[in-house]
Amino acid sequence: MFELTALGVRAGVRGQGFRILLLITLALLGAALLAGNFSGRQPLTVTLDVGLSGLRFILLLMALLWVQDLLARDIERKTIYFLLAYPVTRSQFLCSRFLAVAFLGAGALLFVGLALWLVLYLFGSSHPQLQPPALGMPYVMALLGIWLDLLVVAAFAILLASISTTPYLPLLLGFAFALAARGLGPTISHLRSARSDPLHEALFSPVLEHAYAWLPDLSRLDWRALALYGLTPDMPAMALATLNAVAYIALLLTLAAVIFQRRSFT
Amino acid sequence: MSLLRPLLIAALCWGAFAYSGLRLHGYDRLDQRLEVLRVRLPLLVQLLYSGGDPYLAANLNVFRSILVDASVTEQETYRIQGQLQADAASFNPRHEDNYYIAAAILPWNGQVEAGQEVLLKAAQSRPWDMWPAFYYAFNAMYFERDMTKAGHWAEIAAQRSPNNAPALRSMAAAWYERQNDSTVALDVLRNMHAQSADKEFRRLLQARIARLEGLLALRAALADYRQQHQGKLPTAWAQLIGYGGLEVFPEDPLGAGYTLDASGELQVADHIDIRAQE
Repeated sequence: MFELTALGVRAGVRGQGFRILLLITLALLGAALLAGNFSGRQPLTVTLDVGLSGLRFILLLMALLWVQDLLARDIERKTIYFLLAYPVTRSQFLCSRFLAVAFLGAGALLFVGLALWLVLYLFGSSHPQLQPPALGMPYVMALLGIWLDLLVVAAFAILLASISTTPYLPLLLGFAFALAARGLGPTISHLRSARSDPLHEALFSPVLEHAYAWLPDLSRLDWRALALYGLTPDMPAMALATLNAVAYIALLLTLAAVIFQRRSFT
Repeated sequence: MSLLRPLLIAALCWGAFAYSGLRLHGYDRLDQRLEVLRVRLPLLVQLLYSGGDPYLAANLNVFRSILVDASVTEQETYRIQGQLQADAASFNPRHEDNYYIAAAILPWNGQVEAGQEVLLKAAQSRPWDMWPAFYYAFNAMYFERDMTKAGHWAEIAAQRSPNNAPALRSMAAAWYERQNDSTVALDVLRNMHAQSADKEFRRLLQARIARLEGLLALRAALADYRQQHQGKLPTAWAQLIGYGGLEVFPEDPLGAGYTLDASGELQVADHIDIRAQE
């Protein structure tokens, strides 16, 4: 199974993925630096903020593309027959694909995260700020949160790939899922706030208040405020959010394994 | 021959294309006035086009607000800017540029409510930063005329900045004193006096308490005088002595003195709102 994971990672690295990632990273860093120039009071914080937003978005697309590349396309092209001929069970195969995407995601995240950190360190504004961003441990925590966020989306995409017959379904629905899960928290807090339309609140609140049972709130994994404003981390909340994400990933992968086991490839 | 005809058509098309392009220079573009704001999509739509990322949505709104030119004087633009900044504050209340622009632009252009919303959210979520609390207090005093709120937030700002604390505390005291209900103001000042350890500040508070007590005594004397003289005003303030238990004419320890405002109510002279009389 570990060979299979390593094989997946190698396939991912050899694909177009990392070359695209390199180009997008350059564009992202440029955009983040320019965005910092919009800020009069906290250019470094805004650069970091926009950089993390872009990083989160790019890596989401990369993770979905990797799931498509490593799993969905195998199923479409029937190359999966050869893979299933290895002495591994189907659920082991699925798990190794998830691990491969996880490793690839971690590598990409380290690469872009390090590049962003270097850009901030070398080219960031030297404007004295009331509260400079914390680029040490809090930054690592923020990246870790983004990685967990990616894993949840990747697990969802793998579940879809185990069902679907077209490779584009995991890509498109995975993207929609990520949008919904990331926007869930801010949407609920907006509906609860005084500025929301009472009609909207009456319509959507009953559904969204119970969304915790089936949709993870990925905004809970967005820990960038720790790095942006040097806040002290709320450990119990972060541990709970991690547990929430890990349990959801395990649930999705179990379901995917069950479905994949029973699927007949014709 | 067979090649000539398509080439001729292509040349004619190119001619029409280049001519119309040249003529278009003379016309204004529809979106010529880029510096004004017209569009504010609902908050949840903003969240959607930011990929569900509230931080990005906040940044986009702040960038749009920054791009408004200082020469724009149009009310609609400021109304939209107020909404954009209030949205940005609900996405990311800690955004420093957002509250700073809000404090500098919004209330001065008629968007007091939006400006105060942004500042309140920033003041509540940035405990290390005295400025949003201070701007919020100042706007409460200057635009909303809510002296209790102004004094309360000036005190919070003082707690956040030990260096500026004396100045902020005396501001808080001054704003509490200007409250419409002077007996409430007197209570607040006495409480502050009892709780303060700073000698200089206690002296200042004592002076403000004395001037309010003088004002209340004078008001009582004036009311008594007018009751006994069919509502007439005295020709000299010294005539008030003996009415309403007034024994000596109170001195204002801060030197401004007391005077009648436009509605015939006694006030401390430096409390009369010049803008209201204009």
